Amino acid sequence: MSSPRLRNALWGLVLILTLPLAAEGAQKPSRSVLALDVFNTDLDFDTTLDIAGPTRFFSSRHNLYAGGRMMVHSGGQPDDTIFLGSFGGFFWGKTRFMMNWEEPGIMSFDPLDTSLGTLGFVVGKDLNLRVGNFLTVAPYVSAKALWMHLNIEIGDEDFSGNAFKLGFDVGAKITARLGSLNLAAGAGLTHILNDEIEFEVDDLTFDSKTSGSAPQYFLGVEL
Amino acid sequence: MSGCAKLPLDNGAPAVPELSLSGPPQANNVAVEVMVDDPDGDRVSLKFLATPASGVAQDFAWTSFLDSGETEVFYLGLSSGTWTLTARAKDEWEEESKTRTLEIVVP
Repeated sequence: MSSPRLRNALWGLVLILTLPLAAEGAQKPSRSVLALDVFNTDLDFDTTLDIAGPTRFFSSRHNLYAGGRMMVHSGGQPDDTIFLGSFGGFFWGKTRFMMNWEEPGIMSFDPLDTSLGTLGFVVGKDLNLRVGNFLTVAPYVSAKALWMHLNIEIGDEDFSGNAFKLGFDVGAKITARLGSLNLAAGAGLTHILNDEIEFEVDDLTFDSKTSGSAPQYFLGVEL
Repeated sequence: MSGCAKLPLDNGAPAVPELSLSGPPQANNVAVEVMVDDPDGDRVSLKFLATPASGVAQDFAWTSFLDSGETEVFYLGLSSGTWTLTARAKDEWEEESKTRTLEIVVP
């Protein structure tokens, strides 16, 4: 499937999944959240290819990820002490790392500049517990689909490939109510279900693996 | 790979490589035994530079990656004479060690 078709498919899925949230939001108060997101996965590439003899690629410095998320939260009434809410939206981000490569037992080469872009959508439920007048604590669970774009720079040329992954998150969000603008911060674990999946990078195939679970952090504002 | 990810700031450089001769050196066939410990257990690659008492130094390519703590023997093609062999290690995160030198007299 080509990249434009993948993107169109993603947008379609997001619309299908977020329309019910929007409808729910029409009946109950809804909040939108724009947040900085740190989704720190342990993504690993390890593959052996035959390029003029066996050549092994493996990544390093692959763990730092920064991006954003835009969510719509719905459910509950302003005075509710406890309520079950729903949320959904997009997240995106990019990480850069170096791809090591070697001819095993012989020599290694200068690492290659590599980047991994992520675009995905998430839907979930949170249990909102009001604590005092200013704080709301909300444990959450969510499911997500990710489209990942791998780019490897070799010389002045870019080699790119795509992969889809599915995952889920568990964690907790704390919201500080400051009038019309609320501050929200969260932390949790993210888990990728299809742990091993191939990136087709031109005529090369990279196996990518993600850890069973990796920390997830976000910080943002609710409007 | 599993568990939490490691941020680059968390990474420690490999220890200085341990160098010794593995048997008596012969012209064009000098066996050098090397061991590198990495504090994080990362795999390491080595780079050798052989400098003769007089003449042109030989700069070797980075070796393939070895397990931390593993002892490996490398064969270097050094001609007769006295050489100063310098070795440094880097881990998968490109953090480099300090260098270690070894004097080698090749008959």
